Amino acid sequence: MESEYSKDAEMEKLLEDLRTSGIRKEDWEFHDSHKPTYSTGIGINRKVVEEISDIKNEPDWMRRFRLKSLEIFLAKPVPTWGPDLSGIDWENTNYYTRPDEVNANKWEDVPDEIKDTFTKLGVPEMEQKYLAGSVAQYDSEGVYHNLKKVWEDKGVVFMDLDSAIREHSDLVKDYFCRAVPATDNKFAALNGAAWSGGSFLYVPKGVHIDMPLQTYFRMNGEATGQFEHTIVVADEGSKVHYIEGCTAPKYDRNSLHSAIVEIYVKKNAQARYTSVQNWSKSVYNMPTKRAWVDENAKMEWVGGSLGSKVTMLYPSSYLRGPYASAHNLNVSLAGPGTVKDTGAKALHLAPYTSSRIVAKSISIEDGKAIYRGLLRMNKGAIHSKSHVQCDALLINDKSQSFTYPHDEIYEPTATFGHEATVGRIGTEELTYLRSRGLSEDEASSMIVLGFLDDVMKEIPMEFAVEMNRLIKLEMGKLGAVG
Amino acid sequence: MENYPETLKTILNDEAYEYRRDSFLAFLKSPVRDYKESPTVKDYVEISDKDLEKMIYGEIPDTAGNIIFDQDADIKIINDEVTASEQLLKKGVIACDMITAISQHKSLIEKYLIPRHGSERIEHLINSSWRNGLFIYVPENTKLKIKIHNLSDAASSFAYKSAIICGKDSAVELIDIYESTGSGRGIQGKNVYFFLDEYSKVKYHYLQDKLDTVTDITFVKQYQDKFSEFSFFHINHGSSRVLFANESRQFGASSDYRVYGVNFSTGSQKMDIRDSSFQEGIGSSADIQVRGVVTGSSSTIHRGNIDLEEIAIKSSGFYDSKILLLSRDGYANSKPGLMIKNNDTRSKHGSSISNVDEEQIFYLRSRGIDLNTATGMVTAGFVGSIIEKANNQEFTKKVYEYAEGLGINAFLGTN
Repeated sequence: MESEYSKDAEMEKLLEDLRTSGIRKEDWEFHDSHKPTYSTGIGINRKVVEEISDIKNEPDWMRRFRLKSLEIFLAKPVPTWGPDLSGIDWENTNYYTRPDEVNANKWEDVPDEIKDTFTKLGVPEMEQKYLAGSVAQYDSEGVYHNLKKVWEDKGVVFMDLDSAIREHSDLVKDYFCRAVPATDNKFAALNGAAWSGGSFLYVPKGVHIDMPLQTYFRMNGEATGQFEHTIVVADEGSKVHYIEGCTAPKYDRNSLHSAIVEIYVKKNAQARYTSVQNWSKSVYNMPTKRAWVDENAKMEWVGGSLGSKVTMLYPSSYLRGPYASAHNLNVSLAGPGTVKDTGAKALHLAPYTSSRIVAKSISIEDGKAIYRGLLRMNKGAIHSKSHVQCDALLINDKSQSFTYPHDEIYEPTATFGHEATVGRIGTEELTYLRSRGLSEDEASSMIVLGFLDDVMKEIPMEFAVEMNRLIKLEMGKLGAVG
Repeated sequence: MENYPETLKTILNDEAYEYRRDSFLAFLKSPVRDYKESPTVKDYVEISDKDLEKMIYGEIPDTAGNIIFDQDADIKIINDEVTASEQLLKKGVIACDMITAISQHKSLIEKYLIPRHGSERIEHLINSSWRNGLFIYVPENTKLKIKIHNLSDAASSFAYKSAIICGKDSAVELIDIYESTGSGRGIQGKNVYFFLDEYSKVKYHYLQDKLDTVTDITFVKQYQDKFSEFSFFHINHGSSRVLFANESRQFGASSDYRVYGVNFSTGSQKMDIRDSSFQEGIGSSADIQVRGVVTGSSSTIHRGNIDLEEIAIKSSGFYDSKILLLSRDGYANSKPGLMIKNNDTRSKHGSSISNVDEEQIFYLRSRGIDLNTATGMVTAGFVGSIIEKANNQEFTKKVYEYAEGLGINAFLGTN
């Protein structure tokens, strides 16, 4: 049975790939020739928003919601407390582009050019081997969704959000923009006005999905915006692992990605959200991600922020029920000329809640890695605990690292600790490894990957290998790590 | 405040007018933060423009209440009037008020003060509107200890500016105590600038224990040349609103900066305690350790940036903040920051906020000590590790008194 999948053999192959750095930027920064069949043109205004709503044939409540969100978006100023966002060309961005009108549940039915794109990115192969289901989005619309029958039979719903609004309207309405209202921030309001695509995942009570589900987002056009909205609901006692991957080609003109991710982890449920973001260096990445975590539920955020020109990302957990817990693990790689303003928020709103935030960043050349976080313990969150740890590694002499935690404790029985370190690859560590026969490049590589180990071991093996390869690639081309 | 430039011209039209005017322009140009510091409050310690107006126009009552100075003090200051002892002056030290210094020690003022206008909005305002202040010049190769006792009428409002210049190879220990007389709700602002020439050493003990109706705004800055050492022990205990901002300017290579701070907020006090380093010198080091204790409905925020500039290679910066939250109604925040702009450095920060350790209380109670005393003892231990580094018996005694007095009001998570 040669064709049968062998996990060991596959792992060996992946590790071999890692050893030989068998990955090139062209693997995901390629352009394909597929032209969108429909676009609302550049800029955003009432007409464009109504047009998006018309295309989707939406119910009236959604149309009104979009228009209200547009008003909020136009009224809110561009945030000035973080990285420079002046490169976002609001006027000349295309806020909605649609590929061919297709949303297949078999890859054979997806148009060849789009299918080829996802095949190059390894999405169908990954789905077959490791996933319980997957959704693929190309520009503004989902083009493929599939869920293995065994999970469908158990009542799991997994599809792009547009389809979910049509097929499970009441269920979606219960959760849509409850955790992240349009008033939250300018980018959330923009998403409210122009959202298109994204996924909806509902895991019924008591169902444990033992394989991850994945959505893959591909932004193909130049100076476009992608505004997907993802909702994950882990009902009482359920367990789920949801993964997102994102890539885009590199263009001269900047694109904008402003997503919303809402996760509802009900009583005794567990949800893990893993995201490997590898946007190209012409993308402003401004998502808002938030989880509501109920009694005794557990939320885990695992993230790898590798690409993009500027990223502002602070996944937040609202710990709403007693004994709720949140765990954030994030790796950021600030390559040359890029800014990664990432962090996490944990709001302890109930007794005996706990949170742990671990953030690791690497800055290369003049890359700027920023940790920005909020930890808040409300009065009444008795005996809650939190620990925040941020570590930064500066590879080159011009690399920069900034840490801005913000801790607010209103409950005297709570315990909170924060620590951060910034350093470079130590001469002593290098000398030790070199004395054991490793080349300088091999030794540096080993130290960098060791630095990230806390986070990497929490990521599924296949994704950790992929992330290791991407990090090695980013550093290798600078001669920093071979 | 719109008419303030007129005031500058008419009332404060002295030899520092140009400097004052530039500082006021810098104040006007400083951006006003337009976002909230936290979801619940705009500013942790709210100081309105009306308060600032009161400070810069000044209100100093004729009588300063019952004035009892520390007899050991070398320099006695009531509100903004400075008197230096003859003994101090005999040692070759220049010690006078700022107005005198501006006219009589112009070259020193031009060398050290004039080029520097500060960096913060309110700091600029104090630089433009100070009524008087203390000027000390310690010549090269001089070693001495100076005790300063500041008394101000609680009803008085004023801006005050001090400059302490330490010549090459000098070593100075300064004890600087700020207390109140009378009663009232004055707004009192001060900038205290240190200028450390190469190889000089300063040990600065600062105690602010004003009446709890006064608003105290303090900016302390140290301009450090190469191989200079600055050790700072600060205690904030009094005043209803405390904005205390301390920041180094380490432009000299191998300059060393150590800060040990303790603050107690009780009743409804609000304290914003900032300790930062700004390092441009190669091989410079900064080590900041701050402890806070919160009781009643008071609040404390600790902030501190370690800012290592691109040229500050081989430098290190550490910041450590710990707050004991002993109150149901109080709250504590921390905002430590690292701003590291080159990779040949070492830096770290840490912060923690919690109640007293249950096990420590349990241990003391099992030895027959009542809860209040036990709480006081644990609190004293918490701040003791910091204050004992100051090696100043007077300060150590005061801090232990403050700490032990808190036990009665403390809320423990254990009960």
